Amino acid sequence: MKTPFSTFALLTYALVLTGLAFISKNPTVLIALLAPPLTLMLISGSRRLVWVFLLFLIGEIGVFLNALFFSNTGSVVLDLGFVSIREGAVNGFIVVTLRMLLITSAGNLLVFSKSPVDIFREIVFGLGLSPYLSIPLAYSLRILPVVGRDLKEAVFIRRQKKEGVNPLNPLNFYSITLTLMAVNYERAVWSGISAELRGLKYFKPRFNYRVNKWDLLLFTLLATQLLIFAKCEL
Amino acid sequence: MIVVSQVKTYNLIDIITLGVIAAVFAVVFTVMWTPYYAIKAVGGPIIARLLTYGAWFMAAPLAASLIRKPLSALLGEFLPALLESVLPTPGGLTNAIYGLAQGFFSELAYVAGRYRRFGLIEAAVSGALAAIPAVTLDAVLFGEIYPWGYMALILVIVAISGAVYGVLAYWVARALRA
Repeated sequence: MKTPFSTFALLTYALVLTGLAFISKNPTVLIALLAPPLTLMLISGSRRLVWVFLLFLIGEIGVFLNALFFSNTGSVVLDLGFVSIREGAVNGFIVVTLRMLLITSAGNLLVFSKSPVDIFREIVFGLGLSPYLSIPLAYSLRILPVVGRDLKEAVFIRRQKKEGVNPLNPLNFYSITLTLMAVNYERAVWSGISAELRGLKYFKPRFNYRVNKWDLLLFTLLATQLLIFAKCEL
Repeated sequence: MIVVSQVKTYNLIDIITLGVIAAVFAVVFTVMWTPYYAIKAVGGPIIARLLTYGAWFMAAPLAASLIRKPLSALLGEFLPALLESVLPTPGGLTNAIYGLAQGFFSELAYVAGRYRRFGLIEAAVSGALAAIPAVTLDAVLFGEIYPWGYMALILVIVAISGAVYGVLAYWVARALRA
């Protein structure tokens, strides 16, 4: 589901919140920062949201073990007999979890609300990137679905030939990467020649943004969150 | 007579090659999250990093070995990471930060040779050097801080993984240039 905010506003919101996630260590502040983007992300998400959360939960096992082994200090919170979970481990786990959840929510709110084309158009025009960055980004965005399809076909053919597809095997990884690069490198060479002939290197992006009422609402929310952060952390 | 400044500027084929590398490795980077987390949950952070981290460093030596011009390693690593940050992954926008830092350190391997050498050793070193910002950012941004000896071990493990994938990247580039 698409949100009514502009891509520029969502990108600014995501960038600021991601930055604040790394600075804040207060769980209350992190929850105050997290609640709006998490809610918005849940509203605007899709079935890809399930996959992202599944990966997040799997990662939480590592976060918990890390906190248990390296931050397990203070008074005992839970005694399981073979291990005692202490206050330090619980606090460390909570802070890292909230931080990761904030980063995931802020970034994926943007990703689930807008198409990659819109996001990159905003990055290119909004930030005024040079052609050395904007052209490869625009081209990569165009061929991303093609590369995804090439990968599926390469994996399918390898399975048909009873060859491995496990990416952890260096030989499989090399073979699949070479296949993807070989096909797309050929496209890149001819696209480059075509672009040279059309004078694409003289392309200059122009920034054009107009604030709407929904963006004002989002910026007001961001300002409120920044005030909460400043009051509690500084 | 060849003018060095002409040899080292980018033409549109180089720029669009960076676009291809960005697209291919954005897909690779996104796919690698699943095995990384799965192995980390079962085998712990050391094994997970040894087997998977180098894949995130591979774009830099590949771009440098293929394009062979200044800043190709940096752009080759940063652009796929930027693209990965707008795909649904747990890392979100932090992927771009990692990409920029890793690309910068990978570039140093070629700076050291004054951009005259783009061989196998440079590719391996480029992959290994990216371990420094990766482990540092894990500690600073995600609190993955361990005792010093353990941190040193993780750094070595990640550097080895990066070097192995750097060698793979060189072979891919050599096959493409053949």
